Amino acid sequence: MSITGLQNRIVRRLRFDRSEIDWKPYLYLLPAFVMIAVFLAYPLVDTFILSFQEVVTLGIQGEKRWVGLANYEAVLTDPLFWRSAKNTIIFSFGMLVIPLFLGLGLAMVINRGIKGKSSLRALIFVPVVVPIVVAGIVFSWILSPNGLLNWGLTAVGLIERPIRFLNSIELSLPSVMLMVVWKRTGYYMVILLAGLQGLPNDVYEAAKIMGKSRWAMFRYITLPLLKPAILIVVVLGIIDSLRAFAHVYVMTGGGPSNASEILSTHFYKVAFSYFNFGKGAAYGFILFGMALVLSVIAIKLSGGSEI
Amino acid sequence: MQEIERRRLLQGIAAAGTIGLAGCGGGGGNGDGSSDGNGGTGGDGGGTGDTQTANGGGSGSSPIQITLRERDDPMAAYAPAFNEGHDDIEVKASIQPPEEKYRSLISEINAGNAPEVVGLDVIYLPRFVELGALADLGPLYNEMGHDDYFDPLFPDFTTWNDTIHGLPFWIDCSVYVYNKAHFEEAGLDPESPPETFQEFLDASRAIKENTDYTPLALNLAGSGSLGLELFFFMPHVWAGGGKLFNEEMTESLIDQQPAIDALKFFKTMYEEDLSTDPTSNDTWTLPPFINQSTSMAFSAGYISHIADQAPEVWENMGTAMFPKPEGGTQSSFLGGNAVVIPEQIKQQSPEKFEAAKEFIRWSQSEDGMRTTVEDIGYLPPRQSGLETDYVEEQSHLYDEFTRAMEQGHAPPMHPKIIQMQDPLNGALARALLGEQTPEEALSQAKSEIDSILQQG
Amino acid sequence: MNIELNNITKRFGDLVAVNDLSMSIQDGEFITLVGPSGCGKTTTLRMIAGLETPTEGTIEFDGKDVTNASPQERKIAFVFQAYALYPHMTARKNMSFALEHTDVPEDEIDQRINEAASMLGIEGHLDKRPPSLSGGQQQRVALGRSIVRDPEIFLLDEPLSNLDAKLRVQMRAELQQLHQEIKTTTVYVTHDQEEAMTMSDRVAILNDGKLQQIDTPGVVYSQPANQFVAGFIGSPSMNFLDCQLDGSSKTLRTSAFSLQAPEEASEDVETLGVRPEELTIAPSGEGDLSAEVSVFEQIGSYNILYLENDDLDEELVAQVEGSNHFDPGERVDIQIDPTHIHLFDRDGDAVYNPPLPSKE
Repeated sequence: MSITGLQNRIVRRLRFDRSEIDWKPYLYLLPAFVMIAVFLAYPLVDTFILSFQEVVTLGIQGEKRWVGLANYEAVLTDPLFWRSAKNTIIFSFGMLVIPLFLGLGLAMVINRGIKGKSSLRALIFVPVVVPIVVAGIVFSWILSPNGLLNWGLTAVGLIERPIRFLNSIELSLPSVMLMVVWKRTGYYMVILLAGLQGLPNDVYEAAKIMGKSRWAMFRYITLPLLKPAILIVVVLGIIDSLRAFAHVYVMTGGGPSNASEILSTHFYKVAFSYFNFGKGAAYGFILFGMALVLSVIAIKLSGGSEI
Repeated sequence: MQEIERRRLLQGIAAAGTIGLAGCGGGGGNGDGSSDGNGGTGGDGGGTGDTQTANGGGSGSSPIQITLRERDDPMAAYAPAFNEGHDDIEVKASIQPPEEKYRSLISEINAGNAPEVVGLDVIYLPRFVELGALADLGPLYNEMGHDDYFDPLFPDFTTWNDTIHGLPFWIDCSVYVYNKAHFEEAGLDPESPPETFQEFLDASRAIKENTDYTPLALNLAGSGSLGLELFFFMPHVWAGGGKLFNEEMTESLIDQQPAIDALKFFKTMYEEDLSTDPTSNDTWTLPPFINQSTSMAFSAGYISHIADQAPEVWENMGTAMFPKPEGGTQSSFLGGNAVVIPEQIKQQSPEKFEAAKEFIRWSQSEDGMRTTVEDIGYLPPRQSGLETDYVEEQSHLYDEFTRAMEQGHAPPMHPKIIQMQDPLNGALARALLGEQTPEEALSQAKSEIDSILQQG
Repeated sequence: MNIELNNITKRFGDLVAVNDLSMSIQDGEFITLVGPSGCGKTTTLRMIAGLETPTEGTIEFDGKDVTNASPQERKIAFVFQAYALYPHMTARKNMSFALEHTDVPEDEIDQRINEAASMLGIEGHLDKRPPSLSGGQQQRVALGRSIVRDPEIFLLDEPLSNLDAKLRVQMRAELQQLHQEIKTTTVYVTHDQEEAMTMSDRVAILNDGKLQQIDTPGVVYSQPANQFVAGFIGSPSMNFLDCQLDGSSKTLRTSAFSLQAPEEASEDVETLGVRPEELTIAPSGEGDLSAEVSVFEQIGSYNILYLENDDLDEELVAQVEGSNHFDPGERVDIQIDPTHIHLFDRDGDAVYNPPLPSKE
């Protein structure tokens, strides 16, 4: 078909369509669209612009100066950013890796059907509904020098002096991770259990007839079929590792000496305690970008978009 | 101070959590940096402003309403105390916990509806001046002509870029409290508390040996308790002539001998088990003192509540300035709030600006200072504020506060001071936990603070 | 391979799924287990597969007791109703998966897959995943997956029930053809008597966990062992009428008509069974009874009449030639061939069946 022919066709269609457009669906969508625009798009765009600016003066007529990529550079050259990034990777083991394995194991045990399965499931899920701040405070008590754990360890003679779990360079981050694992395992277990329960029984029977071992069934059937559920868990874990704030803030405040500082707590300081508006905005977008990129990578690596 | 702000925030988060935020990851979300500031409760200032302005300064009929923004419930007492003597101006107190207060103040200023008068934590003063947010109060200061301000408050507490942008409102200083009964039990003279590092160590050792009490309730570097490293640690550095940074604000001096000596003093206290854990996350030092598990506690000047909570302790309690190195001068951290007027009030409404200034005039008067001392429990900016019958009656406690007000230091003033707390806090933690020697830790802190200073 | 089921019983708690079932299946035979849902046919198949263990009784393969043997020890292949394909594997991988990590060399696996694929006509789809295949293609992959394992016994559990009617008929023929080619003992479970009749060497009819009859399709159709089999096999179903035998006159009496009874008829006859195709339309006045057409169903090659007679409680169903048309309300005369009737006693057991039609 010639270009002009094609053009004519398109033009004709456009002309025709214009008079035929049914505006009603758009009208119905309008409230939702306005809400999204006001509460999501506007702040996002505003913050994005701010990340290339420096606030010189406050006020309605407040002066802002364009600084190009300086805010991003400031974040990325901040040694604490990299320290926090490293800690966040470690933290993600508590947020994602360890509870994923534990949750998968528990889900499979429960799915196979054991005695007291429903009460066990409820018990494992309880931590999920405990508010994070409450959990943080309770774990702080348990881990404090005169807390339950030290009492127990001293009582059985494993240690002589109480261990300072939370204000220790080495132990503060693992201590927070302990609480996070406790809270996340049940969460992942429920998601994975739902996935497992959705798997048809006959594929396992088919494998059984083929003489496949338990491990082969797990490796070649359960894991691949559970991929969508695992992917949800992984993406949630990545995003929550980057968002996790109260976990660390309540228990260690990021210390001692930034030993448990993670990106979100550091971001909080930069943006909201230091009043570095532009740098804070840039930091926020870096976190946003990281969450986006890592999630996309996770989805790509898993070889599918069926999330 | 930051430490208190954190506590308040935690309470807020905890409350929100129990309502049902559950495990969703609390606050702190990642995406939108600045927009979070919009979350403030909006101003109850300025709202009625336009109509008032339109009415002009008509005398009599209805008073001009202005809003005072403060951080704790007790500070609401300023409003009735002021209103009692003023028919033409009515002050309303608007209380917001610190963490929320500054964020919402910023968004209110950006929206053009800032409160008329703000009690601004003095360590934020340089940053807000830098952002062009505060009106010049130099003329007001000169016009009032008070000549008995405590020395450390001018110029440091009030002045940035050679201009006075705030006047001292209520002052909080750092001291230590001690239990005289415990001192006697330990064989110490309850009327002459230790004054030097060495005396302090000796007294602590005596308490430890002769009694069942932990000598000192201390916190310096609890993670997340940013603020205490300035409030409790810096006076010991100042006592030896040290500083956080130089006059030109180009270089940190925290690696110098006075800071090293101070840190070594605390390290000894800690290593010999003479204090509670100074790196603990439990930032409150007074509770163990109040329940008599410790004989001494580093404290703020806000102690009057002990009278109700533990009368027995209150009866036996003494206050003293922090110890000093041999040959030094005892010091204290004079924090607290400056009273400021947002620049936009001056621009938008001359009447409100005048009303706000009238409030500040009152806050610096004997009447206003009496409210600060007696109703609220903090210290007044001027000496005459401590020359009252009430203070006279409590002289055994106030004498040391008076000395602290005279000998103490205003905070190190810099727009990025909050940012500098983090390296200092970390250095103290590392040294106390034995990760680094005091010299190494402070040297690292110096270079980190240097780079903050050099960011300009 | 011969399969011998000896007095198999399977209970799930209080429920008796299979009750004292015995059956022997010859090597190379295509046998169908058919019955209404819940009759125990799938449970029986699963016990043969080793997916369930009988509560009582034994199972022998070629004389060897395999009652407690695991599925893989039995060298069987099982085709599931919902195919049980692995959605994340390609068709080829689905087929090769069974053979991986066995002693079958890789090139032979490929060869077997290609053979099976061409046998089943799915050569072009080997690299697709099940979700992008049609139901019939998935079914073929599932069959192929079984074939490549070269099993001793094929077990198929309602394999065609998820397909549409047309495809079902086509697959039916293909399965038969497949069985002709590979000659493997095949046990096929279905609830569809038509499948059972068209495909099998022998049909086993089950009800309530009990075997009702096992024989060739011709026999179970012409000489049902009992009323259940008579009613279950054949579509439309056999007509059943209450009747008594007048011993002296050798006459069968129903409430509407009488018939000459066959020689073998005995006193305890209670039910007369007549297949719809044995009810013929007679010229007016010449029939055994007259009835009114209540519904006329036009099928095409034949048509179905639903008939009502005032003296009969039951509705009669007659199958007539496609060329015959009737209108509801029309009255017709019906003739019954007394040599093609079935008689059942009080317990429903057959008392009389017509002789098998001889092959001509």
